[in-house]
Amino acid sequence: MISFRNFSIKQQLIGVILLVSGLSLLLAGVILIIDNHLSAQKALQRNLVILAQVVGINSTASLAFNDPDSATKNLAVLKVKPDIDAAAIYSKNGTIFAVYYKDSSLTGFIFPSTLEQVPQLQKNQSELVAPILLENEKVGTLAIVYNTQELSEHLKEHVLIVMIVLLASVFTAFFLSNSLQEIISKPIEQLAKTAHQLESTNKELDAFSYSVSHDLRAPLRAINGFSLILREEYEPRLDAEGKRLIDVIRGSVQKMDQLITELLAFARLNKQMLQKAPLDMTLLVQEAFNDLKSLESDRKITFLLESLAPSDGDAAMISQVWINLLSNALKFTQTRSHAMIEITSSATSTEMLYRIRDNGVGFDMKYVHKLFGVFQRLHNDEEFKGTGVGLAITERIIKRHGGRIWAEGQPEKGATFTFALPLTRRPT
Amino acid sequence: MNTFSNDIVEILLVEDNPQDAELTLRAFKKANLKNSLFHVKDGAEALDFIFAQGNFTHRTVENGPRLILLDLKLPKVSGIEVLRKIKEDKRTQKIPVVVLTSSREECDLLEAYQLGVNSYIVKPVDFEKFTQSICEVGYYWLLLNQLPYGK
Repeated sequence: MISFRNFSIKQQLIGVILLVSGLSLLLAGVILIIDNHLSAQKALQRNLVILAQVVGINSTASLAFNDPDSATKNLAVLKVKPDIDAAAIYSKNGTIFAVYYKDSSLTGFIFPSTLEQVPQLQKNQSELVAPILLENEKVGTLAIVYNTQELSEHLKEHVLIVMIVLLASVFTAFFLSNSLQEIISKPIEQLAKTAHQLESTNKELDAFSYSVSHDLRAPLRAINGFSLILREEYEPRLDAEGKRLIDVIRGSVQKMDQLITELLAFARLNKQMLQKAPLDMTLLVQEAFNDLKSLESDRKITFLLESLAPSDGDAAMISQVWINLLSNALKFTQTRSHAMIEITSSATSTEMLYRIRDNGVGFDMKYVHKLFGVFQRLHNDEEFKGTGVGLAITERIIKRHGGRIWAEGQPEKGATFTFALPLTRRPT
Repeated sequence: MNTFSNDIVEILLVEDNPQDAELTLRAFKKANLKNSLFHVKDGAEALDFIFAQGNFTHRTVENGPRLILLDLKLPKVSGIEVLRKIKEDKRTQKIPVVVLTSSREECDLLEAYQLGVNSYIVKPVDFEKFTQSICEVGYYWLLLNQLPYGK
């Protein structure tokens, strides 16, 4: 089945333009033709009625004095109007009184002898019947049989003209739209090409990620394993410095492995489909915190979690956001004897805001724009461990939900991270 | 291990990366799993060994390994293909196959399980963790796990 979609955008555009202009012209043409035809018919009828009245008035004398000859002469005047094929006057009692036939040799129509009989009209013939009145009293009947052939011919002429105009317009429309359609179709084709390119780029990215996860890790495993073997089996032959050097190597390997894991997570994020569902935010936060707290059992942490407003989103991804934000809060409050983390939510007319505040080392607002960049860090590895990918991932997730995230902080006075999700349901 | 003998081989290690192979062997030694272990370097050799063909016609299929440690990314014949052939053949489908691989990719995982892999383990970069995993695998499949017919 050939469907509309099988054609190129250029062809679809031209087709639509031709269809619309063709149909409009056709509609206009048809309405005009019909209107014209009806007007012509009405005009003809009006003329005939007037003519009938005139002839009728002129025939009253003939009828009154029972003079068929003068009536016949009167009728013959109708010769001037070629539309009229025949006319007849019937007397008061309904019998034929006088007749006129346009062409006496014309075989075909003949008036019946009485008014009651139905006349046998020919093709393209119509009859007009009018009473002849004398001082408001009916003295006879006038019947005029007229020919609508000219009307039909005019109609045919009009139809032909409209069809020619239509054809000419459609051709013109075709050539015009052919040259002008580029304005619209070129950008669309460009878009389609870009989409295709993006698709293949994505496929390449998939292959790349696969390669990274497989091939980059193998040598890392070797470095890790063999450096450990070296450290353990050659221990007696290594001095403190030798052991330290090996430990530096092993530390770097761990770092690189972590980096690879986080980079892959970052890359995979864009491929993933977002599965939106109603979320119990309070529960998500509590679960994330419980998981992270188990790794920091020896610390004093005050965790203030108020009942959070629900929102819609991808549960796994939003969980990730909370894990990142909470883990940062925990990390940067390490230096505090008593860490404090507070989570609140509020609503505006268009967004649902979620806020996490901590009393950690904070940051200088002049570096705020660097916070969410990939691999951007405000501290070095000695002070606080990290790869600089966590917040970038967080921002990516929030953006994919159509939201936004920002941060405020002061050095040594803690930091507050706020993210907003678009409102999809009414806050209860 | 003499490649020309029909001796009992308890563990068949299919691994193309020599460093990974060496680490695995050391891990087994460290765990005192003194099982006879045979190492092949690609998928084709693995199939030859298991099905007693090619260079291993002196072996018999019935005398196959009790455990197969299989890497996925192999030259010549892929790990998935080897897994498929093992699980399709009635003589070999009962042999436990543990995939030991670097790839955590979802597509590999799914395919391996669909083919009937017994276990899928991702090789950690950390060697100590790696050794621990190997020990646990060895103990489980060779000592704890029951096979249908005594071997």
